[in-house]
Amino acid sequence: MRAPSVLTQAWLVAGLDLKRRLRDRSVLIQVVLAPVLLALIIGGAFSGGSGSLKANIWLADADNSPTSAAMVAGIAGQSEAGGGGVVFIAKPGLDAAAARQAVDSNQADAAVVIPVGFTDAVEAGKAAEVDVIGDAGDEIVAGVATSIAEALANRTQTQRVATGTTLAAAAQLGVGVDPRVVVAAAGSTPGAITVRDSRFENKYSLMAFFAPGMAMIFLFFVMGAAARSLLTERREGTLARMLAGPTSPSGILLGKAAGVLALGLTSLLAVWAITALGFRVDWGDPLGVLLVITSAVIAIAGISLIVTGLARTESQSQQLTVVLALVLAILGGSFVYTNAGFLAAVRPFTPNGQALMAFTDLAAGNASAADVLPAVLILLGFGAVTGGIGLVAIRKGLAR
Amino acid sequence: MTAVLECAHLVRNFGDLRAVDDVSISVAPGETYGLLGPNGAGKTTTISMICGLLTPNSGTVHVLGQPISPAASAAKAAIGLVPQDIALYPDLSARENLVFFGRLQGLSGPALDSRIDEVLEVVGLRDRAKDRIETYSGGMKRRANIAVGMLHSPRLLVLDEPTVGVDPQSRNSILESVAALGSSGMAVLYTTHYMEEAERICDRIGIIDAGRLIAEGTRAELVSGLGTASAVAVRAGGGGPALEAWRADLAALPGVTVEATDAGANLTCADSSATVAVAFQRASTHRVSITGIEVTVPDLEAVFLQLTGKALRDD
Amino acid sequence: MTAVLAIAALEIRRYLRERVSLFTTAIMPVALVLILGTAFGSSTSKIPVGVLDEDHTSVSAEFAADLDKSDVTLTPYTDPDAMARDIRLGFITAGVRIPAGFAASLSTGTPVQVDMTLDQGSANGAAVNSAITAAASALGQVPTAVQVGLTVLGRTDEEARTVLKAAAEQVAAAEPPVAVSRTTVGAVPATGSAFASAIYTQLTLFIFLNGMLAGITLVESRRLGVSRRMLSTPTGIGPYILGVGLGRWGLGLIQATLLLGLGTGVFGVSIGHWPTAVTLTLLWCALAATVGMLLGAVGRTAEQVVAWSVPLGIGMGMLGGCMWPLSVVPAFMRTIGHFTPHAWAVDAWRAIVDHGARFGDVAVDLGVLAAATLGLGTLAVVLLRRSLSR
Repeated sequence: MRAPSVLTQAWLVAGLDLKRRLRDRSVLIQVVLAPVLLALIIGGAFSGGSGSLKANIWLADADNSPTSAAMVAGIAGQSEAGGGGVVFIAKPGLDAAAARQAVDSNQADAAVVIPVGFTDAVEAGKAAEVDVIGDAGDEIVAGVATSIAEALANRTQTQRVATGTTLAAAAQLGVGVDPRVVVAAAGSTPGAITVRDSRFENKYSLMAFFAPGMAMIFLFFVMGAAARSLLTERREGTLARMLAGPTSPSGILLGKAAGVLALGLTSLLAVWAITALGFRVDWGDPLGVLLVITSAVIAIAGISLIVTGLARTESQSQQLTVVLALVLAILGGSFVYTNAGFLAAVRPFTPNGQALMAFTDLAAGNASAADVLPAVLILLGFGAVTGGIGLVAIRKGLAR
Repeated sequence: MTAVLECAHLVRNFGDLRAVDDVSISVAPGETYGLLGPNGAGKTTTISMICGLLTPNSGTVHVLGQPISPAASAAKAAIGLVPQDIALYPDLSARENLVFFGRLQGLSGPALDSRIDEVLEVVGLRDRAKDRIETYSGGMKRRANIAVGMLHSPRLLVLDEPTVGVDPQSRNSILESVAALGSSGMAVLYTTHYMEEAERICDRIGIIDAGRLIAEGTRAELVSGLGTASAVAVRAGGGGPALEAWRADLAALPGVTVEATDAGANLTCADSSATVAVAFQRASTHRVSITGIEVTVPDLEAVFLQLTGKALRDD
Repeated sequence: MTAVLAIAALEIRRYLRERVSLFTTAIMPVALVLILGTAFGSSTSKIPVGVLDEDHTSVSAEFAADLDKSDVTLTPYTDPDAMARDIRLGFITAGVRIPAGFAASLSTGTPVQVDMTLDQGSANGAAVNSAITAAASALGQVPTAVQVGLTVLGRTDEEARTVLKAAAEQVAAAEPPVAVSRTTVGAVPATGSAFASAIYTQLTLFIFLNGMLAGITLVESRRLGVSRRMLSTPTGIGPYILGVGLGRWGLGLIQATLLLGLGTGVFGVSIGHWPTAVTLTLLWCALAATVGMLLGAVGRTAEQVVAWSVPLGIGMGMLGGCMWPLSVVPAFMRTIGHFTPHAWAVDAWRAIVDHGARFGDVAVDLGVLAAATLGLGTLAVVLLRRSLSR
């Protein structure tokens, strides 16, 4: 009967650990159920489409002339099709006071008023004004109404300028032009700068962000516990029993580390499978996702090992794990993911933050595996360094 | 004949504390050696060094001629450890524990399965093998502990206080198992602070205190070799000259001291049986009637007390 | 009674001695309040839009600057993929691409097009479009005038362009303005400052979460046999359970005091009608205490309690509106959310802090919470009695 090789020992130790953990219901809950459930909740919460501006903006045409009517019709036509978002409602003949009343009574969210005598003033070459009535409680909609009014005012002015310009230039060049033709041309020429509405398909689901984000928080807990089991085994004597036999510390360590990794991989892969297959969440390029999952697990495993290596008692290890998990979750953006500011600056320095950024790029940025390679390498490096330090510290604690 | 275990001049310090101070033990094949000492004497530390869990500061350990150290994996295969803690996975069954540790020892397949059945039979846990360790009583856990220790058929079985906190029935069965193993030819190193256990199953005993091996030998050697005497308290009726004469006769015996008491005499002697026989005979001669006799034979407890001035157990 | 208070005091001491408890009780909620408060503090009054300037001229820069002055906040991008990604993620509502040759086209009077990118399902096209159009119409005034002139005169030569351009600039400068005047009606709402909502949402979330986690001490006491030891004293089960409950309640109150004190003292948040607020707080802490005792009664190990508490706590917090207001979620999610006590508590808080509600106004919410506390509390007591005397 020959003593088994180091690899076989590691295999046996890892296998036992995995078997014991997967039998434990609490572990299964944390490793698979909880992240999926939480992601579901978030998915449900934001299934209505994120942040669309809903507003009714009244276009009060107090001027009630053919010109103003045409302008109003033009704006009303820009209403968002399908009823979501901003809707412009033409109100021919409605005056400023009535419009104000409407906004005040929340019938309208904002109003743009073309005042009485507007067209006359414009045509007479005098100063003119477009009024905007906004609600103090909704700055954004008021801003939209203002923009509409500004566009309208600018357009009107442009037409005036164009007319005057053409006439002046014609005179200068000695060309005869019919003023009515000029006016007509001014009215019908589109602006020099036009906007093209260009849409793209967005398959991105918030779940693709929150599922891995939540899963990684629980990974800290679960992998921390798995690594901590080494301390438990030292206390309970099973470690001594193993070492009293032909098992080497290296074999045990290798096995423990492998078990921790296997657990982490199982978790993230399961979450990926369940959300992708069960809820049709697209995480992006599969190869890229696999690479990020693997490197993220290695990085978090590294942290678990270093915590185990440095802690002297199980209780210490558990406390450190909880604190680290929560701090990294916050800093890494698992709870609040912002585009700018302190959190955004600090995020790349956390392993889960790096992973989350990579996952986000894959799901929303049309990134491929090659694009996330830098993040993958950073994560692998992080894992190698922390894991290495942890393993050395543990090994030192084992050799007495 | 090579000793199964040969450890020489083991020393181990923990900071300023010298836990083991120049301990040398050898165990022959088939011998059951008892390491007897109070709590804190250094038994577990010595065991740890012998099993290669701890490196001695100085001294050597050889099992079957092979040196033992934390790195000596192959040589460790000859040792079976039954540690003081239960050292089993509580959420696994006895059988699952045995399978795991057996495989770590290099056993596998049908050979492993049949060996597991064997050891379960020996410790009497065959019908509870599938139950989780955490459901076992204290005694059952210890028996499972022994099963795992002997699973790989070691040449030397090391048991560290295997009966602590165990009910008398289980303790009895454990002692019987160990005795049986000993008689089957296995070398056994058994530590305990229970004198009765050492006396019952050990061929040779080493007495350890404060890290030093202060005495070693068979029970008889230890008790007699240190000149500890038996005490015989005799209550004799009658009085006067007959009693005096009787006492004088006994005092004349070699190795016997007599202390006169109102009720009779307190005798100190090496061989209590012989002395009692003579006491009766002389009583008959001098017509002294003996109404009561109490013999106190020295035991290891007394040996220990004499050697160290302390009690073996603090209960 | 002294026994009860002694047990309560011990519970509090034991819990606070754990460094982790200090972290989850004090540090983490405060940190989250700060983060949430500052991240979403500046109530966005502008639509976030990204701009990708491929022209890199002063004219394109001017256009971007004009955009920024409107109802839009601009974030510059250099990579179209990054902009697309951020649109998908919702960081920006839309993207504006200023193509190369923008300035050149404008100077020759050639019409030019800017792209507004949105995701397919977005309903915000009109809103963003209006902003771009406003800026476009301002910048495009002279070029448009030139274009009109060229069309009318039927010429495309350089001389015509030059004359028209000069004329346009002159006319534009001389023309009386068509201005926009802005009036606002209605009152500015009480600064439901983001800090205020951050404080009461995090308070709700963490007091409940820590209440659950406190179940660990009960489990440990049982496991170590300490509770049995306590029961062998003349005190008995009833007072013991009461003491434990009181201790938990106290822990919740400590946390609430910390957060509310922080809010009112440091961030100057007003908590509205304070007797109502205090009642809500007391009630919530009582609920958290009972939940903790329930978990302590049924849990077998500390790890188990943590395994259940963390996901449940976070999940209920999410459903109940502690992470994002329930006003942004679909109706069915709001309904589901109201199966958690969190939703009712947050509703009550919002009414008190933002709308000055008093007892009568939040009676229903308080009632629901009281009922939940009573129901769960009874269950907890029954189960605890059973588990402790096992």
